[in-house]
Amino acid sequence: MNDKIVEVNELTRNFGEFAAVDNITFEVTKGEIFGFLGANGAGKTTAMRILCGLLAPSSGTATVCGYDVASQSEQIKLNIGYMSQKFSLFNDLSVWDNISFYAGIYRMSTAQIKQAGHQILQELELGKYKHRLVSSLPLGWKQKLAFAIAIIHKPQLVFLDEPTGGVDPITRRAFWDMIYRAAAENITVFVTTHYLDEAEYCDRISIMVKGKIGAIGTPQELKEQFRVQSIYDVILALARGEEQ
Amino acid sequence: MRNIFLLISKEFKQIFRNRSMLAIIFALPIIQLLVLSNAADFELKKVNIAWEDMDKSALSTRLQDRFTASNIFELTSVSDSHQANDTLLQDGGADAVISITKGFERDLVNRIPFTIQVRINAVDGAAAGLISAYIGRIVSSFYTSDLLKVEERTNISTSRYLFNPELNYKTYMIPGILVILVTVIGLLLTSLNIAREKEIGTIEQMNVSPIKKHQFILGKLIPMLIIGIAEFWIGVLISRSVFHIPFLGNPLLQLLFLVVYLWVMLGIGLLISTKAQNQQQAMFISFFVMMVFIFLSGLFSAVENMPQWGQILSKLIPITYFIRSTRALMLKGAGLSTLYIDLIILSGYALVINLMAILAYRKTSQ
Repeated sequence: MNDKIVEVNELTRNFGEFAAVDNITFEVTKGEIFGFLGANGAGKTTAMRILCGLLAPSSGTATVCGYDVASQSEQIKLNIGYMSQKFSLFNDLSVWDNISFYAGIYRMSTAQIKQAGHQILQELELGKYKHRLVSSLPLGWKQKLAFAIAIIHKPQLVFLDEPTGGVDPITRRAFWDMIYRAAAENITVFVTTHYLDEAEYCDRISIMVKGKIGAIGTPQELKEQFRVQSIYDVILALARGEEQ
Repeated sequence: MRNIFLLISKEFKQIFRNRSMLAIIFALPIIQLLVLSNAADFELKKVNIAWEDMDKSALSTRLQDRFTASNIFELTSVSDSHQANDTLLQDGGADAVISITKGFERDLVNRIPFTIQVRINAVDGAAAGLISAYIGRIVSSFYTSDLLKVEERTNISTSRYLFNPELNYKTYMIPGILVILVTVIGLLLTSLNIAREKEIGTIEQMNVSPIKKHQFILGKLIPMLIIGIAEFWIGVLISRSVFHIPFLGNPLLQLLFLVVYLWVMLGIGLLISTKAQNQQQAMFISFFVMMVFIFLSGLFSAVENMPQWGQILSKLIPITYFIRSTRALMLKGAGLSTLYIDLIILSGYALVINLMAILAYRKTSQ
């Protein structure tokens, strides 16, 4: 097998006349942290939903973890984790209920759940809050817990959809430490974000513009390619190119 | 299987952690049963009548005593003025005026047909009908017991009330109210619950997990089914202990009907939740559907009294069949041999509606 965990080939998704994702092709390598950038409405979410098996492509192909998104979405779902800013955990369940529920869904045994769950509580220093409702936790804690739960079953690949939206800088830093630790455990990370400092933390990034991939490469490569100092300037350059 | 079990236990944890949800599910129905059954009561407790006696004979006085002695009627005025009594009727001082014409006693004794004029305030048509019937009963019993010789009485037909001998309105209403409670659980809570996961977005998280669609749906419906069943039997216990309503039928047959009916309601709830984007929409649609169900079901008014089109509509809604069979089961102890048609119809609804719901659910999520 090859070392590509995501392979996207001429993928298109239309909503009526409008092509939300317009003939994109890219790959993600096992173990890397792949940043998926783009303005609101550029097609990031649509692309991500296709890769998660939530949405069928209109044309083109994509494989995730070696499975075809159109026909093998059930296998994909067993091998990925998913977490987003808006929704993840059940607010009206306790920390432990959330952990054991999600772990159970990913077919972990009771003993495994116990062990992995306690590890999470220890790492996040949530031991005291084990039986607290998630709704009573601060946002930053919730997001860290949601991420830990999203990878509790040690997936090959985890999708993070704006995981740090609205989170304070210190917690964001801590969150990225968790992402690095996950990557070190050989979990590929596919992350969307609007924070450009976070883009710099990624191994490679792609920037979507109006349904197409505007640029792709390591942060360093992109800066050299556009002859600018920061990712911010890369995005500006892409936006200007779009206007002309 | 394991996923369904996980989802069900998650659902119960959420319900039992949420105090307001618990209140909606358990306290509200109990209060409703206690209050609604007393409020939705068409029984006449006290009827004020004005007495207008033109005959002033021994027999007319005896008839008057009959009315005074009854628990229902109260003589608020005795006057000979036709006009004064009409005014009483007009401003609510009396619900009915009974007027004895001159020659009443003479006609009675001579076995000539006699007339008594009764004027009733019929703003509330149903109540007026009842008043008229009560008055007729007193007059005819007066006639038979006071005037006929024993051997003559056998020719007079009397009626005996079966299944609800005291004509207790609650006996009739409570099975219906139980049905409404179950309907609320099945329809409203199911649609609200699924719409809520949509609104918060946790449904998206379920969709990217290995949980299959049918597992998610069963994980939602089974807890509601269990709650609905529990609620119904709690209601039966209350109606037995508080209102002394009998339960004559086979409980297992009742359970069968209940489960089938709940599946119909759960299916409608699911169908609504596929259309609704949030809890508010789900709530509005559910209420609309429930209102139609309740008013056309024959709960508050007999289906036979509806206009033709109303009767047809009534036959088209599933709740009609469940109310009818529940009443028959509880009060008459009816068995499957008389109720099998209702069971078949309800099963048909359960099948069709759940198929529709599953199709609609698939479509929206693609």
